[in-house]
Amino acid sequence: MELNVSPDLEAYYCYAIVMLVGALVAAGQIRQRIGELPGIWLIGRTWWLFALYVAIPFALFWLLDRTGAVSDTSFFAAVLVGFGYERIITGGSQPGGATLQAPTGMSQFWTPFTAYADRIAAVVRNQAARKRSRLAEQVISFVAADTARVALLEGLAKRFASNVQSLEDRLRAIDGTSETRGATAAAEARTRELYNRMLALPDAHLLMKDEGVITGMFYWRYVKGLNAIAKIAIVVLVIGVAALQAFLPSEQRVRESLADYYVWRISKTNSTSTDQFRARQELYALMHPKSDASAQTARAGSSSPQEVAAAATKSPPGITDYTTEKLVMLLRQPGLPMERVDLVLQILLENRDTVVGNPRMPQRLAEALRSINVDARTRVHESLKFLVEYCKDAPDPGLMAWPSAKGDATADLERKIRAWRDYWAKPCEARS
Amino acid sequence: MAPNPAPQLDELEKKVLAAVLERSLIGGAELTHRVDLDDPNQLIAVVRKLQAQDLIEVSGDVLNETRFPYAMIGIRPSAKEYLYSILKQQV
Repeated sequence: MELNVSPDLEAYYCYAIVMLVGALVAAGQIRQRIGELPGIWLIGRTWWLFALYVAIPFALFWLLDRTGAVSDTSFFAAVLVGFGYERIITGGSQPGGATLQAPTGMSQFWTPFTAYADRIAAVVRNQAARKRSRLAEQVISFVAADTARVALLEGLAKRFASNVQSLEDRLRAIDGTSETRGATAAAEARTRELYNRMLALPDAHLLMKDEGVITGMFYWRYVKGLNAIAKIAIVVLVIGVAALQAFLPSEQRVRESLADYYVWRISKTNSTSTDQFRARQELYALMHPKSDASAQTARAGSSSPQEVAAAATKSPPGITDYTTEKLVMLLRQPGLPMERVDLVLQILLENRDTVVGNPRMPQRLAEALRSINVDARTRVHESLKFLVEYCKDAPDPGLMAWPSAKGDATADLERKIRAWRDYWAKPCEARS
Repeated sequence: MAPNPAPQLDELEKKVLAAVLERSLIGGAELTHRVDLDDPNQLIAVVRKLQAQDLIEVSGDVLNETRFPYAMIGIRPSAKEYLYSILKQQV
């Protein structure tokens, strides 16, 4: 599979694909390790092992992206990692003939992990044995309490016995002990013998239900584990409702999360050009929300710049401000490549229509002059000078001429930042 | 260090091991049925021998004949290929 020709999707879709495919593979791993006994999925440790198996491809996909081996927006890479993570980690051949290699040292993690998975499988096996033993005791005491049920069980066991004579001999031997062990204990031993014979048959409990040995209620509650399922469902429901109540995100929070996400995509040094373009478009859309108070006022057209400025100042910080702040913070990030600095400035300047009457963007942009990178500072300064072209009043000529050359004293830099902020604190009247 | 020689298994032991390998995890009652035995006593001895040789793992009571049907017999998943190779060698 050639990864370069892969469709480029949003990273969160790719991670979702990895999780989905990883979950399918994890279910297969669980079946392989623990088997397909009914009730296995009612044991908590089974789910823990399942979660570990799902987490591994997820973490590997993240790690491969971090190391530049794949892009986290590659659909093919997501599918490949989801299905073939074990081979990628252990260095075996991979589906489709692709050659992906996990970072050095990752394969050493696999052996202890499989040993741990073995231990979990052993715990699940122990719990399954305990549950089975408990169920057997419940069935035996339920059946032994009623002679009619014992008779039905005996008829059923004889019907399916491969050697009826041997069964009858065993039952006679048990009956012979009733004087020494007591009638009740002998009846229970007889029921156990019959039940143990039945248990070897596939769907033994279903047969017992159909023949009236156990009731439908007993079958669903104890054999099928409806009791346990109901308990788990109630706990999940209560936790789910509480979590929703506590963390249900508001529309504003969702937008902020999207802004965080797309700013991260812009800052990601190994993102594809398609991904950068998509992030730029999405950020533009976020910075022009229909419900943004200042944008609405600005669009109204009839308002004066002063009114627009007043509306913008009074309105709570909207998603435009939030996104602007995040982008400006990104400009200050140490080590940000110059092409990304340019990209961030392009996004900010693309939104220059928010400048007139709304000085928040250039005010914040002035903060980016604190970047430790002199090239970034120069670019930010040039952008501020460009934004001035939209306003009637020019700033101090000294500020416009100021070169943010290497060696700026910190105090001098702070003075210039303050001067820019003071300039943008006044409403920007559009140049006629 | 020289590898341990493959254990020698008789027909019933091979049948038991193959049944456990096929299902990964199997109950004592089902295992008795799958190897066509009526008397769990015969199976208990075999299961204990295979367990002692570290070929299978057992949870539950394998000493008590009446409780053996509720025991769970499985394999260590990472030993699956090794166990298949043992069966293959002895065909």
